[in-house]
Amino acid sequence: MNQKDNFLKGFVKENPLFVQVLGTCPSLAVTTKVENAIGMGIAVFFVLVLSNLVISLLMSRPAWRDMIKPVRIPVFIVVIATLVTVVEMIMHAYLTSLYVALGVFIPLIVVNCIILGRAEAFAQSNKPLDSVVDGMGMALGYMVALLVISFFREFIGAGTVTIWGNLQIDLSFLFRVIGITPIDMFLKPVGAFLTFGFILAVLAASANRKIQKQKQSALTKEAAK
Amino acid sequence: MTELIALAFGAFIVQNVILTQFLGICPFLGVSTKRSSALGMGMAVVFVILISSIVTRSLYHFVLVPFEMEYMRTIVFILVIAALVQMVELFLKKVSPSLYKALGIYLPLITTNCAVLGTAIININNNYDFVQMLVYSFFLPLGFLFVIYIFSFLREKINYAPVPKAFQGTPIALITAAILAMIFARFGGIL
Amino acid sequence: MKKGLVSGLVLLALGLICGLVLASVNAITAPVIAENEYRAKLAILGEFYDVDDFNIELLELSGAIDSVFLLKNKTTNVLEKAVYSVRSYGYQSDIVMLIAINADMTVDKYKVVSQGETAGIGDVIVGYDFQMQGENIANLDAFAGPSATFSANAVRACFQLVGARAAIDFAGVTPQIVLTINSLVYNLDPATFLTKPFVATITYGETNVQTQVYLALNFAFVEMVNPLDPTPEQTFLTELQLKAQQVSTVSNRTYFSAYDAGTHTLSITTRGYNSANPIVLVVVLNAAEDAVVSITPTSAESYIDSHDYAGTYGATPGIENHLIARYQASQSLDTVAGATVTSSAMIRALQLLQSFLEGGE
Repeated sequence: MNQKDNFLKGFVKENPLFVQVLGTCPSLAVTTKVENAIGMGIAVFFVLVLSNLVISLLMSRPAWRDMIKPVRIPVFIVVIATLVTVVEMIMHAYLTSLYVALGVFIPLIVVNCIILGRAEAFAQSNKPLDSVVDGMGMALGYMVALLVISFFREFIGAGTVTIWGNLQIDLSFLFRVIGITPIDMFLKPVGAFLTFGFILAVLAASANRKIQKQKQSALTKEAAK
Repeated sequence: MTELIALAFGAFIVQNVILTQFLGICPFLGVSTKRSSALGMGMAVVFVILISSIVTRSLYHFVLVPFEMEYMRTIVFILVIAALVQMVELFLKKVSPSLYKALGIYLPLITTNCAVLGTAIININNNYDFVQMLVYSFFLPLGFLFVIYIFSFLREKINYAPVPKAFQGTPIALITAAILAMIFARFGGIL
Repeated sequence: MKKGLVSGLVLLALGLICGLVLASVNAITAPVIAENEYRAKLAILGEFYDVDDFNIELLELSGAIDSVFLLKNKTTNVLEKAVYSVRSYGYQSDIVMLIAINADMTVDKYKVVSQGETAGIGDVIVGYDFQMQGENIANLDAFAGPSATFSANAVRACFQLVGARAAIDFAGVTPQIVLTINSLVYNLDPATFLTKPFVATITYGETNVQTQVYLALNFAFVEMVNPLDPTPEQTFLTELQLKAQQVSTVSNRTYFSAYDAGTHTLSITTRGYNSANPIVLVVVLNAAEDAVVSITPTSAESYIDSHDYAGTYGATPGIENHLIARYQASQSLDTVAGATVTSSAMIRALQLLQSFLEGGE
């Protein structure tokens, strides 16, 4: 496939969170604020792109590939863990508030199925450039998914949208216009599950409708023959 | 002593690993369709988390800290967990092949279960001493087993309910989890 | 076999490379992280005290108490206060507290820094008055917590942990008793000088309280000059008694021993060589009590019989009368005649008399 499809598939067709349902743990935990979702997205981007690149490079030479193949899972894990630790250390030093907000979920990027999954499914058998593009698409698709969930949770739960640090948009006046207050429940675990479930349901409904339409058009084509 | 009871109670229910801390969601959604596999997975997770917490904490305090290599903890921990899960796999294959087959792909996926690595790291971050770590690492996966078992009951019943097409499968499971989370949240006095 | 070996080597090589990468990144970031944490801790400390007033030493510990700030006096480097960052698990979260202890093991300040307890029930511990301020840290009976049992017990556990640790940090640090004697003089008020011979002006305590006290002949505290002044604590009074004995402005070997306002008669006792039998000067004053009419010495000094001081210096007792005569003639008291100790005793007595005439009521 060409690079454009390679890149875009991570956003809709094979979205890691909404379609493959991978990496769900951080998606429920860090989406209380848009800022945290952006931070997590950037961390996953860094790790996924670099791990795809390194693993693809390692497996590109046939000689190396034969050596690594029997122990490839531990090798992949070590590479990913190293990258995650680097991200963790840099965040701890220079982005301390984000580090505290994301907490234990930064080292847990290691066990984020997306990264190991892409390494196993794509990077080890594709060229480095393709792997990098795939990684970028997947990571950005994941970040978009996180942003969608966190936007809903933060907006309905607190009435604000925190983009980064002090850059906070206060939209609570919209609530006052209707006459209600922001629903605090959405910032709690309950809201996380609810938001995620409803978004998946909406996506499933639209996918079903598309299949219905395709079936209809196939039937009409058959009838027309 | 009361501190340990509070810690156990917190790890089991109040700060429940799935419904409050959001660790272990993937197997929670994936394995909970049948009661037997949920129970088997839960027990395997209890074993893995308890043993891995002991091993990783000992490694951290007796090897990494004296050599000032705390930054190696993520790599060391995940390799220890991977090795441990491999051993559990071999053990189950010999002892209970039916359970091994029932768990299928999800058994090696315990390696990537956020709860296992998460517990190991939380033990370090919270500076627990040995006894506190034992209590925490035992009651936390017990909470996991408890919730996943209850959830499997619910999901079996949902199979017979007239769920709208769009909600079938994962979405309705998540909505059910939301209601469970609401119930468990009351233990903390918050909503 | 060979494949296994190769795989093992691959993993080992990879592990080493990754270790090197991490070590180098760690070398860059670790100092930055340490700096940030130290600054954050100093910021919390700044809520209690002004960090510029002390020399601060930070002990990093592992366990429930993760850091200890030792606040030492800027000039003497003596440990004055210790601030502890301590954590304990409450109902559903770690409660982190900052507790400050004085050198005398009493609680100075405390604050709940972070907690995640139940809203409205457990989180009342933030800002709650646990009645521990000013109490000795070991006196946990004084602790009074809210009805949220788990949360309150966790706070109590924090105090308990700090008490155990504070005993170690303050072991060997004796509290400094800060007391200065600004002046120590004879009490010249005839109404009171018989029972309260000395007046000391002192500055004491951390807040430099200045006050005047009456002292007895053994320099023990008798009472406050101004009854409205607060009495200093016993530790200060003990220190005062010790210090006063080294002051040379007064001598408790010379003092007023009797006074009769009607006959204007004043007795001054002074101890010389034979301190068991002191010299007593009976002084008769004029009506205004600012001039001497007569001084009559009574002395049992041992030399009277063994030396011929009477022959050299006049009527017996020779030294005493000689000095009295010189005093009455010219008020000069700078001659020592013969027996030194006796002379000194006489001179002190006459100096005291002179002070009375000049300043007394």
